[in-house]
Amino acid sequence: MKTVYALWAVLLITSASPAYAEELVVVAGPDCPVSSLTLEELSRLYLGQTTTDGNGRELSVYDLEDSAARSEFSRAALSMSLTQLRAYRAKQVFTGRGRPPRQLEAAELIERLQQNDQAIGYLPQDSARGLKILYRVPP
Amino acid sequence: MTRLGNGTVGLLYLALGLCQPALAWELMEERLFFNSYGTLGIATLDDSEVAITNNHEQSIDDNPSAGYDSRIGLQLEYRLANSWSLAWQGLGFKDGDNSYTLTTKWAYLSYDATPWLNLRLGRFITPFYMISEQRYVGYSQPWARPPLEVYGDENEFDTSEGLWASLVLPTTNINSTLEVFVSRLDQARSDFDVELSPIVGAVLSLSRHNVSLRLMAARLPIELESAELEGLETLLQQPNAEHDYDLDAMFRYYNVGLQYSDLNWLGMMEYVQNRADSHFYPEIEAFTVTAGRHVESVLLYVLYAKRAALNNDSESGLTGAANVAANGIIDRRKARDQSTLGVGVRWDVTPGVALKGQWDHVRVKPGDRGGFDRAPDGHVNVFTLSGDWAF
Repeated sequence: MKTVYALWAVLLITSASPAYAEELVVVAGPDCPVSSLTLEELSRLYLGQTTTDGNGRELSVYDLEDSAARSEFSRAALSMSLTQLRAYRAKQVFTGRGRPPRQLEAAELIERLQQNDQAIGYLPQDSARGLKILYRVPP
Repeated sequence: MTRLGNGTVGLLYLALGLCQPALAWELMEERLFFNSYGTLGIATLDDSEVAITNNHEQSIDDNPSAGYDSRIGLQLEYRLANSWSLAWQGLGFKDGDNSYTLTTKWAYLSYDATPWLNLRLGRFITPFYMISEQRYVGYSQPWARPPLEVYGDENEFDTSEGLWASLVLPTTNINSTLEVFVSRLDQARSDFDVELSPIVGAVLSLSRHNVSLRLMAARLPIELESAELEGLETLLQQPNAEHDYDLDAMFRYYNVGLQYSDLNWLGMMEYVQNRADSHFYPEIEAFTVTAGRHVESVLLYVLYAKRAALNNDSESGLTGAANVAANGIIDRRKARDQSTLGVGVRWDVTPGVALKGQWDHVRVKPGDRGGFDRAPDGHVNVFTLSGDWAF
């Protein structure tokens, strides 16, 4: 029985969201025509409810592969835990309402943002040098 | 395959799924996507005299079994061009002692005419209820068993073929989407043919921050052909009948859904009213309310649901065998009324996999059978354990 309790405890711990210490910023490449986004616009874009900002400009959103950063972004910007977001996106995918954003490593994301002026993503503030900051994610 | 065999297949599938951390396999980068979902569900109830059965010869009775709830969904999506895509989704389930079926639930061509207008042509799950379209994707729902009073009637008649349009409305502060569908359902069975055409409906979805509201209205003209039922229809169509008993009739479905979700709390409510202009068919009112609390990766929830037939007026105009037949129809639909109080837990073990347990306490009036195959003794407890995954 102790083994069962121990296994349960380990699974609970490993399935909990990891903490994230750095401030996240939503960024775009220097040529992106968008200068800022509201939290509402950001939420609609990342939840697949729209593909444009408030002025009708088309944007492509990207996620980070780093699950701690993704978890923090989801919590602070979308008011969802990573598991809630995953369930939401499963509904989107299997009802044809959109696909989840592609997940990229930070370096890949920076490269993508510099090549594509419609791309937006989020990064730790320290990694966002040379990029346009569209939104600061509250801690 | 034995019940043990079913479980083994399911566990193997689950193990395969656990190896896939992403929400899709890209068979061709940014062009061809494969996704899958599934449920391995084991259910039982505490009354040896009754069972819950579905149209696929699967039942929940006092022997735990996996046939009723277990299923696998497979989806392929191919992007033809920037605005065009093709999608197919099949659902596999057990439909006999040793047989399995894969049915097409979705198959459509999708066109993004603008960023705010999407059109689909083909087969889709008709979006009558808040969770209709993701009814089989257990992972996307909080429950181990969606409340049967509202969602229990979903079956092979839940798809239709036609045109579906989704329009994002230019509102500020509130996200609003209008969906319109025009479709038809035509099914030939061994004992009857049914045609619902044209099904016309509209869904208005509004959301702001953590709250979303969904309103749906639809009309469904039905034509039913059955030698046995046509004989009954002829018997009941008498000038002195108090009600109409046409087999060809018009259904009208109305639905309101409300959801609240944040990092800590979940609230869901859905009210359904299905009307018919023929006394031959049941008119139904049903609702369900769910409240849940998130604690890390665990969701604890309680639910209540109730279903009642609305057109219960007995027939007094007919005489003899016609009177007996008409009141028999009315009594049988009244006897389907039931309510459920349930508690459950969902644990998201890892991204894409959730384990769930639910206890439903189902109550029916004395002599009624509710959703069971025969009348239970007042109440029945239904126990469900499931593993849901989506990749």
